[in-house]
Amino acid sequence: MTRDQETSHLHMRRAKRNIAVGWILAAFVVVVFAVTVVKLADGQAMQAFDHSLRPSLLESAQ
Amino acid sequence: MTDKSLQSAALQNRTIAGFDDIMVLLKPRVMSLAVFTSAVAMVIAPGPLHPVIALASILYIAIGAGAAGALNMWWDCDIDYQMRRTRSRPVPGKRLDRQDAFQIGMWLSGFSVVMLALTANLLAGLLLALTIFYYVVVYTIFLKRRTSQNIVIGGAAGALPPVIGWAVSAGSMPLEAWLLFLIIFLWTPPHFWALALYSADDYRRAGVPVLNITHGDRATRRQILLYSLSLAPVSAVIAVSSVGGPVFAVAAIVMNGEFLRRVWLLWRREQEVAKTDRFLVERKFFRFSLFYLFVLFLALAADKVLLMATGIHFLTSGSI
Repeated sequence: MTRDQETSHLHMRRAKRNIAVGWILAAFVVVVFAVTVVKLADGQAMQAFDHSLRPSLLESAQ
Repeated sequence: MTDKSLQSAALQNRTIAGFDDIMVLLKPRVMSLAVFTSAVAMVIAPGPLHPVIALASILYIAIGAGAAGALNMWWDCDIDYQMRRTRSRPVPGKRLDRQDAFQIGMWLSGFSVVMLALTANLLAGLLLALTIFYYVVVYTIFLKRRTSQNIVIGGAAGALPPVIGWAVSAGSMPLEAWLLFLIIFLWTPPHFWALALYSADDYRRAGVPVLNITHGDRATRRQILLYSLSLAPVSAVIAVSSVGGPVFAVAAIVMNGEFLRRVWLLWRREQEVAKTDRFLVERKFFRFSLFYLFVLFLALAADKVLLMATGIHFLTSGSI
C-alpha cells in the first residue's frame, strides 16, 4: 500500500467514525427530547416550593 | 484529527481508531451484564417507572459501565499487552492512543452520571459514580496488582448495577436490592477463577497476583467450591422474599443444582488432568456460570410479570 493509499484509507476510517458519532448525537437529542416530554407530562410532581403557600402543598388538600 | 496528523499516522505506519475500536474500548460484554441486571432490577422494583425513563436510564448505565471499561483499559494497557487474551484490544494494539482512552473514559463517566441523575434521580446517579470509582480506582488501580483477593473485593463494582436499577425505579435501595447485589458478588469469584485456572500463563506473564498463582490451583478450586456453596442460600432467601416467586424458585433449584454439580467436578480435578483436556471442565463451567446468572435474573423478571398478570404472590399466597 502506497503512502497516498494509506492516507486515503485513514481518511475513510475517520469519516466512518465521524458519521457514527453524528448518528449518536442525533439519537441523544431524541432521547433528551423524549425524557423531557415524559417529565413535563407529569408536571404536578415538578412543582417546587416557591416561598408562597398554595393548597396543593398541603397534604390534606391532595 | 487534522489531515496533517492523518499523514503523520500514515508515515508512522499507524492506523487511527475506528468506531469499532471505541466500542471495544467500552467492554461491551461487561456492559451487557450491567445493562441486563440493572434492567431486571428496574422491572422487579416497586414504583411506577415510565418506559422512556427506564430506557434512557439503561442507556446511561451502559455508558457509565463502558466508561469504567475504558478507564480500566487506559490504566492496564501494559498488562493487556502482555496477555494473549487482551493483546488485541485497541490500546495495546496501538489503534487507539492511551490518553485518548483516558479522555473518552473520563468524559463518558461524567456524562453518564450527570445524565442518570437528571433522568432518574440523584441516588441512582451517585450509585453509578460510586460504581465507576470503585471499579477504576479501588479495583483497577489499587487492588488488581496488589492482592490475590482483588476479584473478591473488586467484584462489588460488577454487583452494583442491580442496586442502581432499583434506585432508578423506586428511588431507594432496600434489602431486596442488596440481595441481588449479593448474588452477583458471590458469583464473581467462581466465575473469574474458572477463567484464571486456564489463563494462568497469561496472568503470570503480566504479574497479576491471581489466586491460583499466589496460592496454587488446589486452593483456588477449593475457594470456587466454598463461594459456590455460599451462593445457593442467597437464591433461597431471594425466592421467599417479596421479589421471589414460583418461576424463580424452580429456576434457583435447577440452576444451583447444576452449578454445584459442575463445581464438584471442577473441585475434584487435578491440574495435571485438566491440562490434558485443555481445561474443558473449567471452560464449560465459565460459560455455564454466565448462563446461570442470566437465567436467575430472567426468572425474577418472569415472576414480576406473573404477579402483575395474576395479582397473586404465589409463594406467600397474598394479593398485591
